[in-house]
Amino acid sequence: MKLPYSWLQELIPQLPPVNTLEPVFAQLGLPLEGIDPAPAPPAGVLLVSVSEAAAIPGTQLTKLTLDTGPHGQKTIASGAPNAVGLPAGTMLALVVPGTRLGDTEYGVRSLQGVESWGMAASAKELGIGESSAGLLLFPAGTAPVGTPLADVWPADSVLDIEITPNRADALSVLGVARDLAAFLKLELKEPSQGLAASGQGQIEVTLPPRAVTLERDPSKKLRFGSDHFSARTVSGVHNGPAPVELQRRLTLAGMRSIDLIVDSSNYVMLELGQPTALYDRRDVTNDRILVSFGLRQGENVKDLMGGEHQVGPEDLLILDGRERGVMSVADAFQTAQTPQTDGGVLGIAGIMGGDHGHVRADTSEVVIESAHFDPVLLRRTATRLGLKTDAVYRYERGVDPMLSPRGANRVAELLVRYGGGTAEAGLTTVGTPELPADIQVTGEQVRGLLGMHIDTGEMVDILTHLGAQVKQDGDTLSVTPPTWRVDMVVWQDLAEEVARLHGYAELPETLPTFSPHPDNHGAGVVSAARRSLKGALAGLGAQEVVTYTFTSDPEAEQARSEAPSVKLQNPLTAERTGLRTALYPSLLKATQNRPKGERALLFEIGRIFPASGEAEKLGLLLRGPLAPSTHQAGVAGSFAAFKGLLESLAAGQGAGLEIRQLRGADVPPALHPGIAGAVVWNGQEVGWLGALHPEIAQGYGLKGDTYLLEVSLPLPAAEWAFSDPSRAPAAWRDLAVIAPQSVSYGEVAALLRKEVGPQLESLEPFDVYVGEQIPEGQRSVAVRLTFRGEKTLSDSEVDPVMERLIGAVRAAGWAIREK
Amino acid sequence: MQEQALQEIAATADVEALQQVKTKYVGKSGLVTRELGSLGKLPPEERKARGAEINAVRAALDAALTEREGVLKRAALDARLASEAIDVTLPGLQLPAGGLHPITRVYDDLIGIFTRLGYDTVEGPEVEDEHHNFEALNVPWYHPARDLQDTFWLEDGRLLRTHTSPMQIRYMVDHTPPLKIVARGKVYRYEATDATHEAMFHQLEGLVVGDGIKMSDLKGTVAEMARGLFGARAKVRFQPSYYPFTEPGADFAVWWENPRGESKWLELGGCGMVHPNVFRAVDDLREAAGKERIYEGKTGFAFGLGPERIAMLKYGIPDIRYFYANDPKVIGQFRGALG
Repeated sequence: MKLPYSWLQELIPQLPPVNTLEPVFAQLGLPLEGIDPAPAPPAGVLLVSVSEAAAIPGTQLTKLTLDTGPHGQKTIASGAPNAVGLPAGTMLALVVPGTRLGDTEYGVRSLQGVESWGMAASAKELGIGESSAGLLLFPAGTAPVGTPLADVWPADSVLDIEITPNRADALSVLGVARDLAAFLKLELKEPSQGLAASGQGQIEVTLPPRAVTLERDPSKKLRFGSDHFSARTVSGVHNGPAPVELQRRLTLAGMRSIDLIVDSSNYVMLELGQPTALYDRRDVTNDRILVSFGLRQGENVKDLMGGEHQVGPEDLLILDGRERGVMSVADAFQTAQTPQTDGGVLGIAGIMGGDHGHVRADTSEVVIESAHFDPVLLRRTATRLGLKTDAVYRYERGVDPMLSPRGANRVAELLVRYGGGTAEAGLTTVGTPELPADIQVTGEQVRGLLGMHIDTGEMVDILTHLGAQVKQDGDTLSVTPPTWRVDMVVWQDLAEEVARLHGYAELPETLPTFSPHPDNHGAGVVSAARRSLKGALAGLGAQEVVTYTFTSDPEAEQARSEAPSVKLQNPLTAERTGLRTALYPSLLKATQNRPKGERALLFEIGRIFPASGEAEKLGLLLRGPLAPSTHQAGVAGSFAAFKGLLESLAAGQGAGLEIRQLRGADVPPALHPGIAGAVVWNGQEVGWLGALHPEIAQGYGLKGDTYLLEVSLPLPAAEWAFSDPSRAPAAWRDLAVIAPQSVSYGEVAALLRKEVGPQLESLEPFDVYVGEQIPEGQRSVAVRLTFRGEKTLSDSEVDPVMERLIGAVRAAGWAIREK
Repeated sequence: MQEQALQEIAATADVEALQQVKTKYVGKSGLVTRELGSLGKLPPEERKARGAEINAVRAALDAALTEREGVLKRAALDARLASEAIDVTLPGLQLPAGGLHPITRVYDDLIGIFTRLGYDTVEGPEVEDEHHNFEALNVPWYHPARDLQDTFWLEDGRLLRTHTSPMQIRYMVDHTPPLKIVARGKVYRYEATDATHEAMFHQLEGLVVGDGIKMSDLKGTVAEMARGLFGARAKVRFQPSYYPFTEPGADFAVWWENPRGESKWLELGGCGMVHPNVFRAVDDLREAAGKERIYEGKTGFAFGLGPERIAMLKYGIPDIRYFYANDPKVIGQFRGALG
């Protein structure tokens, strides 16, 4: 929120200089995003008075005859829409000839036959505001003609304050000033209470019934619609430009000045935090206002900006008092009748005024609405309609529910003072706001929560300075929060206020001292295992990558991974419409991003989101050589090299590893159908490895072989126990098995292992042969079996085992290759 | 004979030739050996003198043989070593080094600090439900605080977690206080990407719950972390802030005496005392799961921060997108001891 320093200073006359305020705001939890200098308009810009405004025939231009004071009578031609028909006496900002603004020096020129003496300027042209929509205009008599604009529009500083959603109270000058005054212990000068009212007003207001349930939240909360509503009328208002100081403050706060009536409403919102809506009384039929839920689903409401909105039974509307099928729409809601609203919608409550009822150039009778609305209802409507106005921004965070009458009276005061209007004496106020309950707290609770010593007496001072009413009984406080602090609900909220005003800087530094409850034991095991795995992979030469979790249907199709089933409702880009179902496409993409042909050995540990549910995976990719060639040959990146990495990893982790040949339909679509295996880790199948399918490789523009692994985490651990190694010598036997080529080594080895039993220490293949002496379609696999027992094994012990093995091989339909 | 033999020994070119000379003179049937064998034919009075004479010759020859053998062996070794010489300035057969991602490195630093302080590290799902991500954390659906965290909603009504805080809820539902954990992982925000914003990034979140846990414990813990990350002279500054799941809430900044540049306050994260509504929501979930309500009356603190931001500040990484582009020239730098 942007606020001019001078406005704050008006409320706190002893406010320290602006350049000392940054740490103050930070300590209050209202950090400044910046302090922006707001320069005065340049010299050479004078306030002059319009004597006559006449259209220049055949053009869009207006000829303005001006009384410039010292320079006498001058004319200019202006194309600004708000120059048309300007009443005599209106003052404007004139850039006199010879003045430079930026790169432009203004002079005297002739436009459509009119001598144009300088330029009538917009706020933007003068560098004092954002609005370029029209000329800066001021009421007659703002200052003597010829007065430099800078005399009434002085330089200032704008504080850009970051306000967290809990601090609704700080969304106004008064709110910020209250906090500053309490913290700095300075006197706060309250802004005007507005024009005092006596008696009931002329506008009759009906509020909706209190209990309304929202579909979304059927049992939790009852919504109240509006619990406090004030209305007051002002007649005989001469609408026109707002006074210069109102305009200046609104402009510096980042708002656009429109006219006195609109500006008065905005000014009060900035000053007090109370949004108001101002209606043309001619549209408030029968001087009655009905606050009602939109009853007809899909009722079309036109707002004052020309937008059209479909409203329904959960949107709160402000209706005029025309005769409807049902006398009270509120009653109709409870009796489930369906009255026709038949137009007459003055506004969408607390969000935006309607086209019907809105203030126009000829408005002189004004109805001021200043109300408190349900934050939840309004937020819901505003979100659904996409209408985030300054008013609803405040309502959804929480406006002081007691502020309604003051808001109406303050707007009335401005309209009377600056618009020459006459306010009615009475003020209509209906509803009884439910105020937050008192909060009980002890000084000891606060000290205990903060770990900081603060006297209970100081707590009372702090809370009182903030506007709370505090009853102290020894160490016990009974606190009535100020009505504007809707965020004070539980005693911890009070502890924060005490700490905030006492100063967070005073908090000591201690450490918790306890031993966690035993059921927390082992909570970090998975994390530690993952970290160990990462270290081992990096040690094997793999580079860790972290990639995006997002994917799209085309990407999944290109990688032949499962199509994403977890999809985003609101994707940011077409490449990110869902969540990945496998890791390898991410690794392929990371590889693809590298210079063409560059070697890559990458791994990632991350989550995937297939239809079967969220899971953590390890992915590994090798492209190019395992060890690159230099002046000597390197080690090519073969399947064996890739599998060797996995074998080293398993060995280092103390895990048993087995790769089972995958064939046919069991081969993952990503893989080459002949180079694919299931990874069995400590006896459990955890994933797959193999060569990337050449068609996918081609699609990704990856030449040469790419090897992939994808396994589920956490990897299953095996029971570990120490065993004393046997010192007895080993016995060796070699055996060559001839089997069809479709039989994998793994199958042969599994049979041999099973037959030998525990005496087999190792089984290593040393020759794989296809060719002469081996029947067509078969191959010979020669293995060395190492036997070791508790004691030295004699031939008479090993030979029968070999006989058994040979028998089993033959029984399996395979043969033994004789020497 | 001695002269002759010594000359022959000296003339040998290799160990083999030396062996032949040795055999010729002192072998089983060598000249000297035979001389000794013929001593018995001499008269006893000559035998002793002659014996001594031959033994002297033999000793001299043995010494010469041993010496020559040493010389020849050394020469042979020298020749072999010379022939084996390698130009060690040529490159090795390298298995190119692997490495960890910078985010992992920063997590390592952080988790290392908290492990020393007795915390366990936990994880949780990235696809969350609205209840765990918002409602249970005191952010009801109608609360404007929802605007602070733009959310990726999923078609099935779930969402991508916007922070690591839902893991607080999940952990407390399953465990008994007192407890000390850090939770880590990816989080997501519905945000257009630029140099400082990403739709996906990481967080580390700490949670301590027990009896009589104080805000000063929070500040001391954050200070301990700050010193672990930025050195013994790091200081911590707390300023009031708002997180719906904390009360009181704070933002914390760390004073970094930067050895390579300007020392400054770094805004690193948010923290606060766990809001009683969060404990209530946890107890509600426990009750629904048939467990005892045990969190009422407990106090605790939580804090959260982003590894990307720490890495960017500490190592001068200019753009958050660098972390996920996986350019080997970028991520390959984060090896060894990082300053």
